Amino acid sequence: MADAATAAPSPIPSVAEEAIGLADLDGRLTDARVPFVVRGLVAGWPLVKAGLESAAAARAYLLGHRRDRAFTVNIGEPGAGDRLFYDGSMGMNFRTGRAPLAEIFAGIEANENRRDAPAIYLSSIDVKGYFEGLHEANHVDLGGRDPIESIWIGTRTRIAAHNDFPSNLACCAVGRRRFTLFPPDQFANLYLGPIDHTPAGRPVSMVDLRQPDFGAHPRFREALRTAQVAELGPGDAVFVPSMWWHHVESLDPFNVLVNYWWRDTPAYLGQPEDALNHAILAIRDLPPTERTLWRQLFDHYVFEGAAPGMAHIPEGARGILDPLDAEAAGRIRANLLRSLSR
Amino acid sequence: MSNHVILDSEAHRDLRIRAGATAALGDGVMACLTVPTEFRRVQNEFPILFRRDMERGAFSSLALFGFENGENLFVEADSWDARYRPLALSIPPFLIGQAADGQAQVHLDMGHPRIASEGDEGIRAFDEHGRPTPYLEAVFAGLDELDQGYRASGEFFAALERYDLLEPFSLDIDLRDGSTHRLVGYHLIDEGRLQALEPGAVADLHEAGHLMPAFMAIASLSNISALVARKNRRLGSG
Repeated sequence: MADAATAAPSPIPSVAEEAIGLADLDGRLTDARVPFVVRGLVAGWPLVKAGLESAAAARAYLLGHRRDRAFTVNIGEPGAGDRLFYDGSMGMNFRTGRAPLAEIFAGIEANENRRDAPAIYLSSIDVKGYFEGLHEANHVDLGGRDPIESIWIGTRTRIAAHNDFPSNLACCAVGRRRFTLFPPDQFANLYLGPIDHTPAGRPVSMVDLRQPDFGAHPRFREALRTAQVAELGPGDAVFVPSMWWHHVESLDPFNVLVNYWWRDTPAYLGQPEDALNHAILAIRDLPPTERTLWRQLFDHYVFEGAAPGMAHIPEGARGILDPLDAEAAGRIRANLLRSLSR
Repeated sequence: MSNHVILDSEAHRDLRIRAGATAALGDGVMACLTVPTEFRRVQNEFPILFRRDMERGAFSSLALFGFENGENLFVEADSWDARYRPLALSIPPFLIGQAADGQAQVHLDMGHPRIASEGDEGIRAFDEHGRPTPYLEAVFAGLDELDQGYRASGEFFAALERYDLLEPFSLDIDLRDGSTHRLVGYHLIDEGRLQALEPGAVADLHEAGHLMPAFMAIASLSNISALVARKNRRLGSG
């Protein structure tokens, strides 16, 4: 199998490593703006220890904590390789089904040594919703943050570069994983696919990182110059800051990752991607002159931040032009719900 | 501002509480807090809706009495026009406070309009020997149920979220005077998803005691049309 590094014009540098323990993590994550790797951060987890024993032991450990409900699973075509992506006609090259975890694991086990084994991937499974006691025995304390905690389980897989709005701490529990990271501003050099028809909810880079077609995607060379790679083993973790693009490869026959997503801004604020969708709905297809005016209004009201330029309105009468609190955010939300449901 | 003191059978020996249901006594509210252990009684009369606190992200349950702030369609001519009066309305001016050791204790809101002044009619809280009257005993029981029910409701909502059963809900209500009200920002339980739950999930909800309140909350929604009819009656006579 080709290595990502060999396909690049020059070797991709590694993400910086930091020697910190669980106790120091909370403080370190405050104001963290660039990626870093922590070796062995979760090496003490029972799940990690089970995985070091064998893939079967890790599966048995997970089965011992599963809730009795169907799990959503993505299954690739036999022999189609490890990349879960669009097919030639922009459909998906995998199908999605639901089955008990024991059945899915039996399938992984039965295919383990076959050359044409399909990629099998359970992505972004809510830890507390689908397992009992797994969180209690295997989690990272993130202080006052209230993260979404998910588990990712599967065979060898490759997920095209995509990004997420929340900050992300990804802990490799079983198997090896490679994260190839690109800074947030690289979106144009990554040749993003559709935003409303995606393999897993987020737009992905159409470039095959392992075999880039520089003829079709010349600017990807630029992106590669900014890339960093994190090679994770069992117990290692990588911090992926908000909006950083990440291409993720699971490199062993059986792999498990647990990740935490959180936002550092108040929970009552909206989701920026909702605003983008709404702007596409309301503004993008306006005539150019009108669009230009809206760009100026957005600059004035949104991108220059709250308060400046509002001195002509008496304090206390600025409404949502003042910095938001939960109550004002709730009013905007209710008004939007009202107007959108008309 | 509120003036909360610890209830004391000596200091409050002569305390009397004004009964009745009027806006002046604090009943002019469009909804009040309810808890899953109370749903069975509430669902008979009132729609039960859920609301997410945007600051903390936590859900709570509300019994709905009207369609706009301050509107309680069950307050009729100084009396409560329903077979059940939710706990959250029947306990004021008493409330649960916290002692220094974190234990719950009964507090009294000295600024509450239900506290009878000289010359007002009122129900005694203590008898002449300083013993709680049956009225106050009932208030204690209600406070305790609401307090415990509220603490336990986090588990209820966690279970509903685990199985993706909470659904955002908005409702347009067309009234006979031609006006339209729109209720937004609430959640309810998705009946289709609850009915389609797999056996393991049903067992999980059932074992934890969440299944019955979930169905009670769904049943309560049939009261929405009765509430609209109430509103229309009021418009007709007003």
